[in-house]
Amino acid sequence: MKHLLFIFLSFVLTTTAFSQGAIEKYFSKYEDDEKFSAVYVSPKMFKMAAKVLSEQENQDLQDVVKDLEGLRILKVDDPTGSYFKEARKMIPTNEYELLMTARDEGQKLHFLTKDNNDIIEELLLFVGGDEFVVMSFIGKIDLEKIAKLAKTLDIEGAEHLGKLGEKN
Amino acid sequence: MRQLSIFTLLFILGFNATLNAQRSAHRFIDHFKNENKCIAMTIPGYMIRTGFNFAAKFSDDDAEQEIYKSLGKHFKKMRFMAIEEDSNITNSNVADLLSDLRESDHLEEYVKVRDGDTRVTVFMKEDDQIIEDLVIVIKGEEEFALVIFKTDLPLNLLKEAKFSFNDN
Repeated sequence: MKHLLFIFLSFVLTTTAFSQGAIEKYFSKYEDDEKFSAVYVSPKMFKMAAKVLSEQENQDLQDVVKDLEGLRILKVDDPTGSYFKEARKMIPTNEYELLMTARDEGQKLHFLTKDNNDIIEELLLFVGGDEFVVMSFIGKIDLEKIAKLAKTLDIEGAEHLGKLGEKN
Repeated sequence: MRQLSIFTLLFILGFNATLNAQRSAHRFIDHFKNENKCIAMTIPGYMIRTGFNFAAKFSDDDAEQEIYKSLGKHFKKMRFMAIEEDSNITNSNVADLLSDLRESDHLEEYVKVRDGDTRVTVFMKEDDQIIEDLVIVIKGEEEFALVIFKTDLPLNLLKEAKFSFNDN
């Protein structure tokens, strides 16, 4: 019985580690590839931003930023859509839920979330078209509030976050 | 006597740790500052303060002038190195520098951006809401820049500065 339990736990832990690693693997694979543009914002940067944002500014923005623990973005020219397909295939469907899809002026958007006890721990945004963009937000994520980042984040691809607000 | 020795040892270690925060960056500049087309400069705190005070004169707003002057007081030293073209600094040199800043100097990576050949990495050390060290590394195909700030810049002051500049 103990032996079976050990095997079961090993399987669960390995599966979890692999699935968490899938996105990390994807970012690690391409973050040094010169065809890609890459952005990484650390948890420390978000904490500092939350402290620097004045209470007189948008309270929702401060609330979003203080709960973010990281942001990664990769962008590449992708006229054939091969990078988009590759990245979507790497997402384990038992860990990530497809929240929303949209088409907008030849671009396709996929929003996926990873929850833990009703708290969204990770938000993935895939944008396919002539360019492929993947964004990963990590932290305690409120979808309505993060949609407000669409205008504030002056990063190509971030404007699509506004669609989360339209959904709600 | 024993307590005094322990105290002295702890003091030296603590002092050393403070100095160590930028040691790799300074060593890097010392190593490459004599490269062809390299500009390297150290700007002491009083000159930075003078610069901020001078900038303050261009503002009509009294509050903004005070912010500029306050900001200037918190910069203790700046050192930078820049090569505009035909840089002999390789990606491997930069990778070693970034690794040393993280592991030997215990600086934290706050933001990393890469677009094509150009990479920008921002390191900081913050203690109790005061920015003590700021190191910016910029590597392009032929260009390179390394900027080091030693500061005691409170985050509250950045918050005031942001609010004041946003108003205008």
